[in-house]
Amino acid sequence: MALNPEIISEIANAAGVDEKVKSFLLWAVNFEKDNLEMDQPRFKKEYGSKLDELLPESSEISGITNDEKLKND
Amino acid sequence: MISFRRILIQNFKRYRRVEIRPEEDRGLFVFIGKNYLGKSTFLNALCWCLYDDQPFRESIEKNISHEHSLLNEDAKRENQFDEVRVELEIQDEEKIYLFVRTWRPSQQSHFQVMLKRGKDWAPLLNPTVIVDSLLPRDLREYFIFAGEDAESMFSPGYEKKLKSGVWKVSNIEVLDRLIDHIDIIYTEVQRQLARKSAGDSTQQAVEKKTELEKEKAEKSSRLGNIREEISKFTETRGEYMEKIKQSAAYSEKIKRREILERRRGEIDKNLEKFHQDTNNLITEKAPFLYLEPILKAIRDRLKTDEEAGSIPPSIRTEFIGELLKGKKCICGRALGHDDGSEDALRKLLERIEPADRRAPLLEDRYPIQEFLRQIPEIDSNLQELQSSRATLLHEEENLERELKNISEELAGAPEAEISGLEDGIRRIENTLDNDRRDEALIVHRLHQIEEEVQEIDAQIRKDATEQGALGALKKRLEVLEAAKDSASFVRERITDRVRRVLSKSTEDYFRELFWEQEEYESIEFTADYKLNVKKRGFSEPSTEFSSGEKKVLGIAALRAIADLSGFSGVPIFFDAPLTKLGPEIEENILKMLPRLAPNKQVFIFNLDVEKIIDFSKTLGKGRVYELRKDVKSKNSTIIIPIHA
Repeated sequence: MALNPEIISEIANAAGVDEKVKSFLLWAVNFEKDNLEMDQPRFKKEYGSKLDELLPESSEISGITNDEKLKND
Repeated sequence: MISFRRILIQNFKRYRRVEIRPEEDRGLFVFIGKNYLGKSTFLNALCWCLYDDQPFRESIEKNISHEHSLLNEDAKRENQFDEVRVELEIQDEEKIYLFVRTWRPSQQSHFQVMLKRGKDWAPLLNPTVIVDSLLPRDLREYFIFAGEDAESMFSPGYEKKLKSGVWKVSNIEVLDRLIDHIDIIYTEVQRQLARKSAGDSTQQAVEKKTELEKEKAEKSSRLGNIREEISKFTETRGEYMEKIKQSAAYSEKIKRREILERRRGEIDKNLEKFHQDTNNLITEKAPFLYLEPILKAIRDRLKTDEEAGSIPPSIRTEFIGELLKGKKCICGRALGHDDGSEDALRKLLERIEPADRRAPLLEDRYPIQEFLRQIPEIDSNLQELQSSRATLLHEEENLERELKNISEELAGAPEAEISGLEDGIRRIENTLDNDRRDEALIVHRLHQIEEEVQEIDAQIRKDATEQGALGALKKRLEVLEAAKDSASFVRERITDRVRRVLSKSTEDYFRELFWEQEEYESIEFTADYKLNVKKRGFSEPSTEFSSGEKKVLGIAALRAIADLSGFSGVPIFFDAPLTKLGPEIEENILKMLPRLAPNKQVFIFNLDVEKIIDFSKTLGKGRVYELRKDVKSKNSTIIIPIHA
């Protein structure tokens, strides 16, 4: 019973989790499984990009979790 | 399903060269051998090839040193730099991979994975990734393990290790990492949101901009005035300059007039002097000229040239009387009543009169000859004086005419104004200098204001963007918060589900494997991964297990964990399953071993105990191998198939 999308979807659906949030979780699980060793700038960048994709209305703050942007702030 | 097609071990510790080719992709394969012949070394060779690791404790034979060296002793004697090589040919569904690790003394080991394409092998990039996709290193202990490991799974303190292992294979760790990462990003976004919300820069920027625009209007107005003033003064200065230019021409005439007037004064003085000189000459000498015939008669009468004396008073009196009578001045001018010359003649006559009564001529002994000689000179002097006077009069007449012209030309000259023009120009220049300096300062300040206003506009635009970003950040924060909560919820549910699945699988496998299954009511892992085994007739779960129970529970749990991992279809290498077991349990373990291998290869390594030899006879052809010392060398092991 490896952690797979079906199980996560099943639990998330049962809990009434928002589709965007569920989509983000499914992506994040696969991303974490595929990237066991990862530094902070990288996961911040990738998570930020995924959030941009999920929330296009907030694309003007694209890369808000990007390490360089965070550093500037 | 994954299966081993070929295993080659060459020059690896005890093994000079062995090559195993399992004939089927599933079922039991048993390797029997005495102690020190390399059962654990065989498993280490597999782990070395796949993971560059040797986790199994190998038995060390006394007086044999090769166990410490990777290179086989026999090989080393022939070539101390000979190559150590392990090759594993593994089939995964339709694909056939070849894993090869080699090493030579004093060198790094070299690992390569190749994929079979036709008759050739094609090298693949990232061999470690291929290994992890087929036989993950993290899960190694669930498909290559020693019997002691299975038994020791439930040694005191096992819960923590078991929980960690289960969470690892069921990816709970992935969820933990994911939650940590979401939490980090959530905190970052929350911090940004707090910082942006706290800022009130737009209002300040607008106020500053208003101030600057007010200043700009004032400065622009002032600049307009200054430029108007500059224009006006520049024009005035031009006019002044023109006047000064005209003034230069007037000035020449004024200078000329001054010269002429000075000259006229000189001429007047000279004329006065001529007048005086003429009077003097005529008063003193003219009587001789006038009385020349009388003097000649007197000279003749006196007959002597030696007599001396001044003009006889009677002559002088007569002369002056004649002048007065004729209304004529000595210098020849007509005498008027108000003319001083007439008075002067009368006074002169009065001074002479008293002496006029004296005896004339003889007593006076006047130098008449001398007088006569002087007459031409007197005449000449008079003429010269008259001539000079006429010249001067002529000059004076010209001079007067020029003066008259100059006076007419200078009549319109603004002399008073011109005298103040230069001062005016200097004042204008000073004012213009000041105005231009003010103008430059104001222009500079206006540029500064322009730049500041641009910066403020940019700030206002940025603030507006950030206001938009604020909303976006809030939205993002909401998603992250929901994701965090959902991930925690999913984790909790999956953790519980994993524990229940593990409990159920372990119980199922245990019942499948164990020979006294009716004795057991239930097997379950608690939330903290303690094993609860309830036996029938007992109210409390058992905490004490026999060696056999432990080994079977361990095997059941390992299979359950392998199922959880998603790698249940990989081969199992099981070292010494019968170690430290009683005869009855050994027998039962042997009975249950085939149940491990319905859909996979299971490789069993065990001592050559009687029971397993008997058990091996029940297996088919090509499934039993014996480990023996090489007859040619005590240092090497060979593996030979035993035909049932």
